[in-house]
Parts: sequence; structure tokens; C-alpha cells
Amino acid sequence: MFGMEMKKIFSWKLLLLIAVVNVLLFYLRLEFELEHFPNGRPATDLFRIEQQLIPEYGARIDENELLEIKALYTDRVTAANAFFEKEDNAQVLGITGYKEFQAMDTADPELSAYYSDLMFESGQDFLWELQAWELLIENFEARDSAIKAQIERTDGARQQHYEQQLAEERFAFYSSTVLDNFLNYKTYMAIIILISITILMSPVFLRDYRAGMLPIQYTAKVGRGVYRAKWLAGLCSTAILTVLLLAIYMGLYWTNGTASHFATPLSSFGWYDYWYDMTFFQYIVLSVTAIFVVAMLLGVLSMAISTIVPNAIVLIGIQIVVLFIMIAGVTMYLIRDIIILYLPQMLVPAAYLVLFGIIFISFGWIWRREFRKDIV
Amino acid sequence: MLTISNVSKDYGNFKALEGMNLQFENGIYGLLAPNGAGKTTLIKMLVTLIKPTSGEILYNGKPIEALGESYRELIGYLPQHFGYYKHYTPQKYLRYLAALKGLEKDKVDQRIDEVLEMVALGEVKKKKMRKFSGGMIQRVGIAQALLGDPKILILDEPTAGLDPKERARFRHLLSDLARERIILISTHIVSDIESIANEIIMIRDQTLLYKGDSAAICRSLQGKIYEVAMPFEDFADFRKQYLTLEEKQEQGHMLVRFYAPEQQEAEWTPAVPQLEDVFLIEYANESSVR
Repeated sequence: MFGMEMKKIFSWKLLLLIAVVNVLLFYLRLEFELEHFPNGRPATDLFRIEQQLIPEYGARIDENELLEIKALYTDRVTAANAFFEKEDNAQVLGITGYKEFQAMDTADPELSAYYSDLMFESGQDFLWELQAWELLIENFEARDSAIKAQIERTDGARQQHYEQQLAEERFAFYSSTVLDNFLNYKTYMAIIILISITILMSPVFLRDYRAGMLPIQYTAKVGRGVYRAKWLAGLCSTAILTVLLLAIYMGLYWTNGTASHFATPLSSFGWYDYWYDMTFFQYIVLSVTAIFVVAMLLGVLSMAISTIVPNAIVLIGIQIVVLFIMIAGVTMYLIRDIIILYLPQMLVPAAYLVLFGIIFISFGWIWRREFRKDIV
Repeated sequence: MLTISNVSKDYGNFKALEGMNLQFENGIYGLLAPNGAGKTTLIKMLVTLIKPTSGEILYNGKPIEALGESYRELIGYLPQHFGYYKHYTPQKYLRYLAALKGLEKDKVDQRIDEVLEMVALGEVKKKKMRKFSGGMIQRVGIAQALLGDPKILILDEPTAGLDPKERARFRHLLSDLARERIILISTHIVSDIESIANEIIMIRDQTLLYKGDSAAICRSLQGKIYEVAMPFEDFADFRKQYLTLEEKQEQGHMLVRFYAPEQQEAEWTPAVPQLEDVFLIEYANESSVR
């Protein structure tokens, strides 16, 4: 019976619809995060340098390592100087080295034309890379200033968090390129998965109600036990679809080549601050788990709605509102911004508890109602 | 034995059934009542879709609610509007229901073939039901009710949509099955049960009106049913005076079959009462019958 309910849920029509929706949304949003990662300059150069530095130096960089990094930068400046020395156009314009190139007046039409040609047309990467090196070295040198500024700006638990970070010398040496990309990626991935779950789960009970199957199902030997089987099949189907989509999309994410950053703690990335200093890989696992949990809760909610609506029109109307709340609220705060420092530390866990509470109270009410009600 | 003991069903202030007492043994029972009299409520209580507000239903002396699964295992039920999946074949549909009914897996396909043969759908068992006529769908409904070889077969308007040949076949089928089971048929088509029902149950105003064999109830109308031929111009006045049961236009006059409990005129010809007459007379004031 359970297997038959599963077969009903995974009807080829619904699977086709889910596939179309997934392909459509993938090319609308998700593909961008794969195709255009790292997105532009200096992100591309920062990512490339980080891929080189992280395996060598890790998340914590001491003064000696900083000197080594500066030496690496100096080598590249030397190479740049050699380039300009050999460049006839540069010599004509009075650019004899990288220092002169940096200081040149781009308001001058000739110099501006040369600059544009070199940066955007010539295909030379080293000048972009040098800028990225400089950004990272600036980060290294001013590593504590951002935290000190935050300590001035905040109070309470957030201030304590920054103070502890400063005391433990957990500085943000690296850029937010990888994290920016993953945040966008997981947000769009969650939206696609939640829409897919809604499509799959919404008809679970309505299908039989509309077909007039309840009198025959409930008077069979299994009786209202079929209701349990539908719930169980629905939960398993939600889990299967969620895991399948997570596997596909995380598999695609793997192609972004961010594995170099997996062991790096979140505090090493610039721009974002988090309550808990887990590694990037742990953060990915947490995010995937959050998406799975929210998808399961949405599956339960969708099935619960499916048991009480009289027809497909009402179902679609309610599900649009539910999806809006799930995307604008739950996905943004409970998935994208999970453990982020700008939200109160207990807000997200409390929100999860509230969500669990609402859904399980609704589920309990619907469950009891089903076993008591007359089928008229 | 299936016993309905002082059963009532209320929906708020509305009484859907009141103080019903009935007993069923193996055989065919025809349930006759106009719409809204409470027959669907009675049937739904018998098949455990709704619970009585008071009273109880017993199978072999035990409350059916307590028997639960072991009682439902005995039931074959065809609802008035039975549900099916249009994109399923009868075979796939019956396999699904066989799982719900707890049939042994290795016997399912054989049993499905048997019941589909019983309702003459064996040849289309692999065709999608989307393309079936109303009569074919109804036969699938009958097949699903028979699937579990039920000891209690409850059929709500089973002949709706069937053509005369299918109805005759259905009656024969029920006669064969009735030897070892309780069959309760709710119908508006009196002729479907007149010849096969061992007993007729009539409900009016949510209470039991009559339970007994159809011959006995017809005998109670002996000498009260007549036929008469009359000119067309007299018919309107006649109709105001008497309850007409059948009106037929013939060449130059009307031939009327009617109910006259208290008088007899010389030109009237006594007619043999039929179950249809009982139905029309007993429910003459019901809007759904008039």
C-alpha cells in the first residue's frame, strides 16, 4: 500500500512539471552562479590567489608568513616592471615600471587609451592580479581594524563576539568571493527545491478527495490507515526529492572549485560575520541540512493544506501565499542568513522552533480531525 | 448477522436518521427511499464512513467499531458516486484496491480477472478508464466491491448508467452471490430489486417505514389498484381526485393505472399491485418522487 501511494505521488506528469520548473529556474538564476564564478575583476584574481595561498598558509597568517606573501607580491611587481620595460608604447608614454603605471594620470586621453587597451583588450591578467594581491595585503596589514571598529559600533553579545575574535586573532584575511557565491547559490537552490516540493506534495490528499476515492479507501480493510500510508509516502517522497535535488545542485556547485576553501573558518572571509566560527565545509553542511529540514517542513505543510482544501484553485491560492512566506521569510532568514551575526543569536533557532511548532500543531489537529470526521 | 440497534444520526439540529432497528442475514435486501430520507446515512454507517450519534451496529453480536479492520475486511461497498483514477486501467485500479483490502499478493491478479469477467470487462482490463462509458465505469465499481469476496455487499445505486442487458446480468450475478452473504442494494429503480430482493426496506422521514418481503407489501394493496380507460378531456379532473401510478396515451383515450383505497366503480378493472406502486403511494408526498 505504501509503495502504491509512492507511485501515485511520483506520477510522470508531476515529475515532468518539476523537471521543467527546475530547468527553467536553473537557467534563470542558478546557472549564473556557476557560469560566472568568480564574477568579474578583481573577484577572479582574488579567488585564484586564495586558491594558491590557502593550501600554503591556511586561515591564520603570522608576521613571518605575511613577509613571505609580500615577497610573492614583490616578485610579481618585478615581473610587471620587466613587462613595462619591454613595452615600446609604455616607454613612449613615460611608463617605465609598475609604480609609474599606478600613478599615471588617466585623465590624459593618450594614457587613458593605453590603460584601457592594456587592462581590457590585451588579455594581460597580471595587472589585475597585482591589484588583488594589494587588496589581500591590505587586508592582512589592517586585519584588526575592522574588528576594532565593530567593537566600537556594537554592544552586548555581538561586542563580546568581536572581542573574543580579536583576542583569539581570528582575522578576515580573505575576500568574500566564495561566500558571496555560495550564499546566492544556496538561496536560489533552496527556492527551487521548495517550489519543487510544493508541486509534488500539494496534490497528495486532494487527488483522492477530488477523485472521490475516500469512501472506497476508508471502507477497505486498511480503513483510515490509508491516511497514515499517504502521510508516510508523502514524507518519504519529500525526502527523496529533496535529497535528489540537493545531490544534483551540490554536485553542480562542486564544479565551482571552491574545495580549496572548505577547511577555512568563516571568520577568515571578509564582509560576513557569523555567531559560530565553523569551517566553510561545515557551513555548507549546515546550509544543506537547513534546506532539507525546511523542505521537509514544507512537505508536511503542503500535505496538511492538501487535506483541508476543497479544490485545486483554493490549493493554488493558499500555496502561493505559503511559498511567498517560505521564500521571502524562511529562505532568507532561516537558510541564507542562518547563524549570521547581524541577526540576534537566538532569533533563527527560535524561528525554527516556531516553524516546527506551527507545522506540528497543524499536523496534530488535522490528524485527529481525519480519524474522527464523518465522510459525508 | 448484522444488526442495527436503535441507531440515530444527528447533524446539529438536523436528524438524518432516527431510532433505526434492522437485522440482516444472508440474502438480498432492497433499500427504497426518496432522496433525503436517510438511506445514504444508513449505508454510510454500515460501511463505517460515519458513526451513529446513538445506538449501535453489531456484526455477530459485536460492535462494528470495535471490530474495525476485521469488519471492514468483510465489506464490499459501491458508493453512489464511486471514485476512480481516470488514467488507471481497471487492472491497475483493482490492484491498488486489492492492496487496501489486504488481499494475498499471489492471488490478486487471478481474483482481478475473476471479478472483471463477472462484470464483462475482462477484455478491457488494460485500457485506461478515461475512455470508458458510464456503464463500463459502473461495472468497474461493481467489480471493486466484489474484489475482496465480501460477506457484506453494500451497493448504493448500483445500476445507474447500466443498460437493460447489463442490469439483467447484474441481477443474475447478485442472485448467485446472495446465497452466502448479505447484500444490501439501495436504488431508485424498483424493478431492479423487485424480482431478486428477499426483503424490501422502506425508509420515510428518517425512520423505518417497512421491512418485509415484496409480495407481502404488494398484497396489502390488493383491491386498491385499478386501471381505467377514459377520454382525454376527463383526465385532468380524474388526476385531481386520484393518485395515478401510470398514464399511457392510447388511440382516442387515456389508459390510467391508479390508486383508489376506498371505492370502486364498475368500469374500473382491478390491477395486480406491484412494488413500484407501493413506492409511488408511500412516497406520494415526497417532492423527489412526485
